[in-house]
Amino acid sequence: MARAAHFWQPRGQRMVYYKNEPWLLLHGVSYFSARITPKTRKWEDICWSLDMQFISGSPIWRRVQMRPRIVISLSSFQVPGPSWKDLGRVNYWSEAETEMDAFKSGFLNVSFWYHQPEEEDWDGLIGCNWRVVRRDAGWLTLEMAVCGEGATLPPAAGEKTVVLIDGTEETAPAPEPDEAFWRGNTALYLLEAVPFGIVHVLVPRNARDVEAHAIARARELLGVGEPEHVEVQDYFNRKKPIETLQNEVHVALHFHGHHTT
Amino acid sequence: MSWVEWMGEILEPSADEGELYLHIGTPDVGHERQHWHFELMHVVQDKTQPERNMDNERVLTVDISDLLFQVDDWRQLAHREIRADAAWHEAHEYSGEHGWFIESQVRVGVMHQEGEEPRPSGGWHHWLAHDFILRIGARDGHHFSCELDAWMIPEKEYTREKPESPEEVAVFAAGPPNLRMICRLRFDGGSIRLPRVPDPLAEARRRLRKQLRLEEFFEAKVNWNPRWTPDHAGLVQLPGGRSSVSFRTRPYDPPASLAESGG
Repeated sequence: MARAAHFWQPRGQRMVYYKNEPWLLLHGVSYFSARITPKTRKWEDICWSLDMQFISGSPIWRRVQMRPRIVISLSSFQVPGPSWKDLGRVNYWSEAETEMDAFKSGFLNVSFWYHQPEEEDWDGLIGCNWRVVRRDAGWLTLEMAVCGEGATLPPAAGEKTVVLIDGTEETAPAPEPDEAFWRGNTALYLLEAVPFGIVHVLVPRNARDVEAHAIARARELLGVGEPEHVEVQDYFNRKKPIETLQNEVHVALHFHGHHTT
Repeated sequence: MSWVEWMGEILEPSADEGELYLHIGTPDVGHERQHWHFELMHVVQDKTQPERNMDNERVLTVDISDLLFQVDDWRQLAHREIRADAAWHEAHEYSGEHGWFIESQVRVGVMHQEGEEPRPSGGWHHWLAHDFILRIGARDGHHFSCELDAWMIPEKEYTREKPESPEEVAVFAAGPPNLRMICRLRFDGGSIRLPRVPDPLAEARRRLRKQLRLEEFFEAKVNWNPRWTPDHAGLVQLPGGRSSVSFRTRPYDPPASLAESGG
């Protein structure tokens, strides 16, 4: 049964195929994030992540406390430009030409949870096919496909070579893959909208104004505007200090409305 | 006024009213934005006792976590019917702004006195249901007539380790309902979350008028979003940041049960 369409995405454009469950995106825990450390000097060095969680929406689970869940984490991918808006141009869909290209698309972890993490389907998979197909203000619609064994994805350009009756070859627009194709050829396929969520900035503790410093760094490296919410955490100055590798103050700049203080 | 038939027994009617609360989220959280929450506390006083207190009251509470509908005008609540079968749940449930799964579930709490059957110990006992039919009738000011039929299951039996079969899920409302309720339902108030704006009260007024056609509200209060102090010792509010504004549709009027007891 089709769920009600959401206002930020046209009806029929949201889909997740995995283990034959009707999955629902969990808001608040699904977002793009960036991490800036004192050593980050240019935008190419920013560490980007994408976290997504889905929960089964099937009514058969309504009396079970813990519904099945997928946890997807894609880390250390590169964004092709100096602005957070360049997330809208991310395209790691076509087959990687070099090993370096594969690394640029990030490391994918996918876990399937039911009571416990029963299995980790892909742990640190390199060279995942994914791209952002649309940006609406702070929301990015992304498409991701992990092929089943022996399967290949259609080319990103959406073209195929056809042989005419006289033997000549021409390129023609390839038909868009349909639901049956994705179900049959991928172990995981998703088309979902997630927000540009958080920029984590590690600020040296001798900064005069930690919060202002973090915002200035994020503005300089990512072109962000004013955050919706800011959390400042000093893990060293707590009753029970949490020792971290870096002795900096952690500032989380939230650019969506999901922060959960 | 509230009339309840619970497990085949018709309880003495009370002057209590059901209450509807509305929570509206911000547009940037990416999900349905109106959460309508229903609750009723039906209190029956043992009139053979000279003093009114918790020890000689029968209390039954009914709440519905979310009615899962969106309206352009709060008056559109009138003449609505929800037939909450599995298909309805699947079509309407969604994820809320903090990763919560938002579903519509009826929860009944019954306070048993010590020594009272069927429980030897006093305290609250709960029942849950997904199967229910809610009918909201005609409007009278901020009030609506309301009927609820629900097929309640004791909480301990309700929770299962394994999922139901599709055949089990397909069965809706088997047998007569064990909860039947008729009451006056009051749209009592709620809250609206706001992005960073210079004047949350003015913005709340503008949004409630635009999104809900709610022209007048009372006892509005701004609650600034909190955040942890850097040493994680406590929470502090952040004036000037995001906020929520709580409101009531009319000045506070204590429930009938409290008013009678002078509470």
